[in-house]
Amino acid sequence: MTLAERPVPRVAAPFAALQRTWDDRPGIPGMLESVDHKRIGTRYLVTAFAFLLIGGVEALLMRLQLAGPDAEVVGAQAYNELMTMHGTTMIFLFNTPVFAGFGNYVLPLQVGTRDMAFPRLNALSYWVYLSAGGLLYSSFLFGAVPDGGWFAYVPLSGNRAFSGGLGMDFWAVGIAFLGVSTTVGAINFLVTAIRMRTPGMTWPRVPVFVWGVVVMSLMIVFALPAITLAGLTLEADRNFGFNFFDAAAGGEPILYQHLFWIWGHPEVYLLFIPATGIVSTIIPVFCRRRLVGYPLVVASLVATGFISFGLWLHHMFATGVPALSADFFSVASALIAIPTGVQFFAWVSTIATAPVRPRLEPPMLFAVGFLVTFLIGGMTGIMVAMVPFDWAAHDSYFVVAHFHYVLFGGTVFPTFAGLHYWFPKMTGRMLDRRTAIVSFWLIFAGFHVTFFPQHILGLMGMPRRVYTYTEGYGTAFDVMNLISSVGAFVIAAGIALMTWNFLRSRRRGAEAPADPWGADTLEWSISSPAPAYNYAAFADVESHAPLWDWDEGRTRTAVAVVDDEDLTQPLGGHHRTIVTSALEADEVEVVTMPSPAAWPFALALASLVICIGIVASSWLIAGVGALGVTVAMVAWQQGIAER
Amino acid sequence: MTAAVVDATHRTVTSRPTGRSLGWWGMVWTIATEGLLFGLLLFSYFFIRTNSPTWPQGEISDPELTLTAIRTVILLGSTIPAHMAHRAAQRGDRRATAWGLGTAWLMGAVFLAGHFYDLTKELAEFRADDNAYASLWYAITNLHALHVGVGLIIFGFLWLRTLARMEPQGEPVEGGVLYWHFVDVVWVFVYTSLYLSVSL
Amino acid sequence: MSVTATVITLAILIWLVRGLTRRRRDITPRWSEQRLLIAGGVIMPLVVVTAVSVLAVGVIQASERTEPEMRIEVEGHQYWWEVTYADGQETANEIHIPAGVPVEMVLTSDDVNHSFWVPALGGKLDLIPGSTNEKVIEADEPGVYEGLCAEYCGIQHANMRFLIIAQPRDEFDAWLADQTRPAAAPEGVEARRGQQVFEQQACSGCHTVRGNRVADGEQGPDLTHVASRSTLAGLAIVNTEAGRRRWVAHPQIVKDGNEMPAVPLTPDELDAVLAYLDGLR
Ligand code: HEA
Ligand code: HEA
Ligand code: HEC
Ligand code: CUA
Ligand SMILES: [Cu+2]
Repeated sequence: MTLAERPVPRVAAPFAALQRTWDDRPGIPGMLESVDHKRIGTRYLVTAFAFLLIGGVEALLMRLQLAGPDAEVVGAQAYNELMTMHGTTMIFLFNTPVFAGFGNYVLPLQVGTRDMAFPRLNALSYWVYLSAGGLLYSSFLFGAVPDGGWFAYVPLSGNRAFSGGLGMDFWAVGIAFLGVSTTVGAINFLVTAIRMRTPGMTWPRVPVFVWGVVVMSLMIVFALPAITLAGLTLEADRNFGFNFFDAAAGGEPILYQHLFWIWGHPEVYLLFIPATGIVSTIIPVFCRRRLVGYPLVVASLVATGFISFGLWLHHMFATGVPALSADFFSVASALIAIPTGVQFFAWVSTIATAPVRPRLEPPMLFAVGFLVTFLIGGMTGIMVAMVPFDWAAHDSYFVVAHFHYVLFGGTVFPTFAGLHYWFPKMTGRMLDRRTAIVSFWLIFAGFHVTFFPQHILGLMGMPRRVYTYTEGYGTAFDVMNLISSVGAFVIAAGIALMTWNFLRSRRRGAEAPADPWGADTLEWSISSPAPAYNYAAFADVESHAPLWDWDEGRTRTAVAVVDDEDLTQPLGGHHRTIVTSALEADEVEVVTMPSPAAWPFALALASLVICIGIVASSWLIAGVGALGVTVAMVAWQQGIAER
Repeated sequence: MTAAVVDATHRTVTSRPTGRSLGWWGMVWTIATEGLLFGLLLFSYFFIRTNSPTWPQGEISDPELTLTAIRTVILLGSTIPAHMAHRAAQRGDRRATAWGLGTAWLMGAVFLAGHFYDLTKELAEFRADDNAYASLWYAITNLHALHVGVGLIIFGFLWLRTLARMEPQGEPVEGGVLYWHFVDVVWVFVYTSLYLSVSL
Repeated sequence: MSVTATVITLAILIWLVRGLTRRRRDITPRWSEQRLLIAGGVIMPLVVVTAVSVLAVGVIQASERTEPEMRIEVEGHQYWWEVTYADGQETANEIHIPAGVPVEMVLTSDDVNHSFWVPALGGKLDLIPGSTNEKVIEADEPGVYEGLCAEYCGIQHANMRFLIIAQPRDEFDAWLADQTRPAAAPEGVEARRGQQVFEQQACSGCHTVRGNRVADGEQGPDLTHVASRSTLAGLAIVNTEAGRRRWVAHPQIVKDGNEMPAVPLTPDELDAVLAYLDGLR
């Protein structure tokens, strides 16, 4: 009996050899060497979540300082540091990497392959992320914490005369360094999605979340150079006497703002896009209804990504831009309501036309929380896109309210939804449902209590980034600030409860079945937690919801043998998987992936040493780092078997 | 949802070429992002230039054209042997590959040497901290030179591998040559913006 | 605009609730699903966006048209506002304007970016080193309007506030004429001694007192008529004798991290300087 006719049971035992080949060595060496996308993805998620907690604690301290007028809880300097590190942490160290985490864990599973296209680069991405985060936070050890705000405008941040100490050097170098991680990760996602899709997964059959990661990665490829350049030129001005931004020496301070926002605006959408991918994954599952308007949703993702490169000036309306460009960028910004509206109504329609009452399981709760919250944030976005309104709202708490509604509402709720959704797959355990629901309500209520009053405060004239305000703005003003602070602690209680739920359920939760939600994408067809090799054979798919096709009785086939090689058995201890053609995913080839290695880790560490050298203005340290980089790069080539 | 986890019928397929290598795709996106980096630097250059009453700023003289033009011709010319190396590698012709790579490497090295020669003369006249023009000048030309340098390292590496008869050669050479073309194209923009449009 | 948005928000929320409570089996949707998507996601935003954009562009164009009758130079400093009138009259953090007259603020910065914002009188505009921005404001009614720096500019960004004092034309003219005078000569022993201290100590290196040849510093506010202001140091304190005392003795406590150092003065010297400042009306 040939393998092609023999049904292979799902149990792990027959693939023990595969498991042995793909599993990491035990202990610390295995940890440092691992190139397993699931392990790396989980690491990303855990690290990003830790940064969310840190950034959140910073926010709590800020809210304590702002709870009453003329408070002296932390003081001016510490407040500015907290504010800067809060924004920087949340955007750079939590929000962007958390989607790299989801992408890493979920994307290869959803496209039905065994690993990312460049496993070692993938490991490098994570280690660089960790190093850059470490570098930024080591500033606390030196008492030189960045304090220039999360966008580090010049001249304030670009000149030692205005921002002495090493604080902004840590920031500039850390951000540029982190960019390496983000860029490498994005290229990896792109090539994985283009070349590693399981047979039959043509582009119209790619799950929406994967589309989200693809669009995010494209945006990273095209937007990230701007922040890298901003970071590098900032450091060159500060530390090496360059004059890009020094008006007195022929430079242009405003150029920095352009560079920052040419990245910064796409950045906020590239957070939002994979987040919507999560929502588009979850809502159909809990409504048991294929996503309404899948092609339109995908088109919207692409359109949003595209348009978002033409909007950056809306962050600079108050700099005195010519009326004509203000008009243009204003209208362009408002037009983004169309692709977003299409997505929004796709979700609403999916819920409204569900054949069953939507199941309000925790992931779905967070998704609905997202809908409500993001809607408000989107509307205030349209308001600030209107120039005359923005002249009033800019740099006030109205904008703070807008961006927390879209960031927290639009990306953090989906993040939490995703964590609750994929937790069983990652750990093999179920989360405690009751705890999850209570934490949702705490977070949801706390969020609106915290941030809704900030709209009103902004309209009353409260500017952002002030460490204190005086009595005399009236009781309403003080009370609203107090309410906002109280709300922040309610969120904290909710997040603390959620964290506890994660930690506890990881070991003690009920065992998770392969598919606890009745979901539609490939990752739910394998055991929970996923085996090291992911798939023993490569499923043929006929739509973007293959599991539901199978439910409906379509025959289920999978590619197990290519030429004479039985892919369910490891060949010579190598990581072998298939690549398929870029468009139709119909032609198949077998390739050998690089083996696990600690060189990515070494390369990240050596690069970190270079960065430390630059911050410390020490050519010696930087030179040692450069030497290490060379060694690690040469050694890296070892064990990359020929494809 | 038991249906989702039932067994599949396994299929046997014959492998067929699936198109460009993974490395080539990786290189394409790397070039895209790097290209944007240069694009933004040139954007910054023109942004500052249009807002500056004089260009070059300060006492700095116009950039020198003749020698640079020769360098330009050499660098652009090197795309021909690079391209030939690529074709030869695809055919599996190791000798021709090595020749192509070697020639391109030498031409690139001449270009880079010329850059360093220019640099010594420029440093005698002005420094990066003089004004914004100088900052942009050194940032852009040296960043490009750095890319040429990386290209030389890649070509050197490929050349050694070709000589050492390692198999197969087509795919890495494909990526390396693509990168080299990119570095050349960038130079066309740098040369037009920083040299021609100022001195002509 | 915000009303439109809110109405739409509510409508969509109701839709959502309907979706959650009623099932497809018992209702037949009036539109097919895709049509709802197009109607809600494309047509509605297109209509709303067009409408609000037309309104907004109208406002932008209108704002370009006001012709100012007067110009005041406002230069931002870390953390105070230098205000200069046409004939060189200089003051700080308190901008007197005639009510009912469009006045153009000529905005520049000495150090980092700041932003000029008087919530009650309109939007904000940045002060950027190396370039000049112009903003016309007009107070219809006499009164005091609070303004502030809206662009993060460093540790004391929170205390970089100012007042717009709109006065009837004649009062304003009188005020301006008064500001044109050089500083009043100190009256009384104490004040004269104060002037000496002021000249000998660091004060005079940073502050200008017009009419005093020693005091010509540029780093701090012009103090020629300092006692005539109602507040000091970007509204950090009220300009009473006690307030001034606290400021001169402990500027770094009142306004942590601002650019004026605590100048070591003996209690006597402090009393004298305060007497001198008191005379600068
Ligand atoms: C996830 C991140 C995210 C998202 C998705 C958005 C979404 C939008 N943002 Fe926001 N924005 C930020 C993150 C984000 N923003 C951040 C972080 C800042 C501040 C940075 C800082 O200064 O620190 C900011 C600041 C910011 C500004 C500058 C404000 C200022 O500083 O003065 C502007 C101005 O135009 C703006 C506009 C918009 C618009 C038009 C949208 C639109 O995309 C919204 C579109 C969505 C909807 C409209 C809702 C759904 C649509 C429908 C239901 C259809 C029907 C709609 C209509 C009828 C209108 N944003
Ligand atoms: C995704 C992004 C994100 C998120 C999630 C948040 C979350 C929060 N932000 Fe955020 N915020 C930004 C992004 C974000 N912010 C940005 C970009 C800025 C601009 C900065 C700048 O101007 O430069 C900003 C600025 C900003 C300001 C304005 C500061 C100013 O202008 O002066 C305020 C003020 O209230 C604020 C408050 C909060 C609060 C209360 C939360 C809360 O939701 C936080 C909730 C989380 C927690 C409370 C963590 C829970 C922690 C525990 C439970 C402890 C457990 C500990 C262990 C287990 C060890 N933020
Ligand atoms: C190194 C410079 C420096 C020195 C020395 C200095 N000042 Fe100042 N002074 C400033 C600056 C800068 C401000 C504005 C501070 C702010 O509001 O942020 C200021 C503000 C003031 C103000 C408030 C002005 C206003 O309208 O807000 C007074 C009054 C004053 N100084 C008095 C003095 C006296 C008296 C001395 C000497 C004992 C002195 N200063 C020494 C720089 C200086
Ligand atoms: Cu000046 Cu803020
Ligand atoms: Cu934006």
